[in-house]
Amino acid sequence: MIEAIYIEEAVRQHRRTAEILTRFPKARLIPCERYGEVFNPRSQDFKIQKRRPALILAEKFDNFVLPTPDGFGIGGTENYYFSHMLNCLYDCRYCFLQGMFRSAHYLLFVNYESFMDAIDSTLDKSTTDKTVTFFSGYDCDSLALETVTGFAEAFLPFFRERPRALHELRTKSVNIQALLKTEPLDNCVTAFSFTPAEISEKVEHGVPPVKRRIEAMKQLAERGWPLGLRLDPLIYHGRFESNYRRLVNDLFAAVPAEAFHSVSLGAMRFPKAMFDPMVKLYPDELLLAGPLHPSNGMVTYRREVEEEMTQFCRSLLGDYLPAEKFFHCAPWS
Amino acid sequence: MAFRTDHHLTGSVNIVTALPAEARPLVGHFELRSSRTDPFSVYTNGDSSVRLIVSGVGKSAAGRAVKHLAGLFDSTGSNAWLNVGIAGHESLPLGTMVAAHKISDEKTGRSWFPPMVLDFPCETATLLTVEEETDDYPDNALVEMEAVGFYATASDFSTHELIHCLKVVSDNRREKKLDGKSVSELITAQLAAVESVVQSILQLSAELGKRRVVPRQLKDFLEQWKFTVTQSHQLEKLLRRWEVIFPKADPFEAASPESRNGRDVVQLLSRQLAEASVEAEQL
Ligand code: SF4
Repeated sequence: MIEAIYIEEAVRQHRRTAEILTRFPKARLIPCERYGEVFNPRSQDFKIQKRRPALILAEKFDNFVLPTPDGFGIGGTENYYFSHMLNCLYDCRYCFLQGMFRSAHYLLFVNYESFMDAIDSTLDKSTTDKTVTFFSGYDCDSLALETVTGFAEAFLPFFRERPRALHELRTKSVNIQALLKTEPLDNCVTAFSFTPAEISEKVEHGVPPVKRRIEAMKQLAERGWPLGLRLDPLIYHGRFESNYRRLVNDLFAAVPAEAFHSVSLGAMRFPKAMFDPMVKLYPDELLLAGPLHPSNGMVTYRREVEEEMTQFCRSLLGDYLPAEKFFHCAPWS
Repeated sequence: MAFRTDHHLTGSVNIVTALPAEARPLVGHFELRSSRTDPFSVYTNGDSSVRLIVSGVGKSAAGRAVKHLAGLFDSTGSNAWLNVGIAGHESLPLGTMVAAHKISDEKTGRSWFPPMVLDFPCETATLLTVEEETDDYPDNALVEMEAVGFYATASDFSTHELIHCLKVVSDNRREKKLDGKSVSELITAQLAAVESVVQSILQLSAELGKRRVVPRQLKDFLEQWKFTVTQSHQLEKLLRRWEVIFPKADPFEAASPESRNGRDVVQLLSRQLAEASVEAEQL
């Protein structure tokens, strides 16, 4: 799957690098000084690279933990996100990463311990003794590349010992073995995002089918893991009501409502600065062609459409979940 | 005068060699004809989709040749670039072809990384570009004199995925084949491999070109109504979206009856697109 691996000289001897390399004995190993030489040059084509993304193993030096935008959260008083990896195994046509990064290579920061130190100092600095939430899976999928990254395996024990921290693992993956093989954590929410199967099949390339993801949620719920449900992005289409109704019904038929820690929803929208490069990559993509329009630096559905979709889905979910489980954690909503 | 040929749909490739002896087999294989000789020898095929320039030795010469060729042919950002030449390696047998996965400048220490998006018919390796001929072979790298100048300059004109270097080993610690005849023979023996790389990058070039095709009816609109520069950019985007959302409806007809000026056209098309309904099956 990964044919080329760029390795920063500084992490060549890192334990995690060695572990990862054993999984790809046939990959080309290409040394580099800093990942920016590979990841950041101008004039790269995300779409072409996405067909054969390489892995970049690098070290991160700063900005390990960043505050989320105002209003973004799932109940904690302070909210942060951290990105051990940039880019994703999957290829959702609406994914903002393709408009944000020049390169589609998977950039993995192997110094997880530095992220952990930063999480600890964020907890130490926190002014209250209330929950502090840390979101992962903002710039990648938290679990999709678990077999390569060992991310959950490394971070679950870490968060287990820090009950004041709440960790959200955002994912569309069914790669849940790392969770299933350990005791559930009350302070780790595995948040699955969904669009209806009819949409997912068309625009979420490489993502496991909705059915399998619901099955994964069911397994986690049975083991006692708290779950998140993210209807994000809500995608407008001719039969969105019946399709979203079926999705929600299927979800709650399989997963007991009590298993849900939180739910959030948000219509598809993009910062214009990310949307324009996405359209350049996919000028023939109907999803990006419309019916969207620019408004205040964002590209969105018409306000009535956004409200119609949001209210409809909110009321669908309201049949199963109380209002206090609804939160706001869609990017740029 | 620049050549103005539209290769959006078929793709185009610019080949750069340092030496006439490297160029000769390629000129024959791709059926290129000499099209000019001053200041560089330039060759093109019948439809100008394959062009070749002989740069002379050294990274500055390679960079200048790239600029010259980019200036001759309309640079839409979708041309592929290929540097084909000879290189030295400590131990690889003469005649071995290698594609570059990293290109380093011995003088500055700076490196470039051609993305590995092609099925190369050969191994890949690091190229070290040096200032002067040398018998000092670096560890695990091929040594040559042009790749840095070629790659750094070509990446001003095209996306990195379309720029690659192929080198054939002409000398190692034990033997050298550096005379013109031998160099041509070394390249000739690898023509099938070069051809396969050329075909792959032509496909990528065509794909990029198609993405940048101007909407069919843009010209008609610009002739019918007056648009400011901003409006004409908006119009181009709207027409592109129109082709995707309403492939069977004529935007010109949709705009004509009500529109008095460019602003009206932009508003009308925007409104219709924002109100479009998309079915899941169409996605
Ligand atoms: S799963 Fe998330 S991160 Fe991955 S491609 Fe889809 S939207 Fe992007």
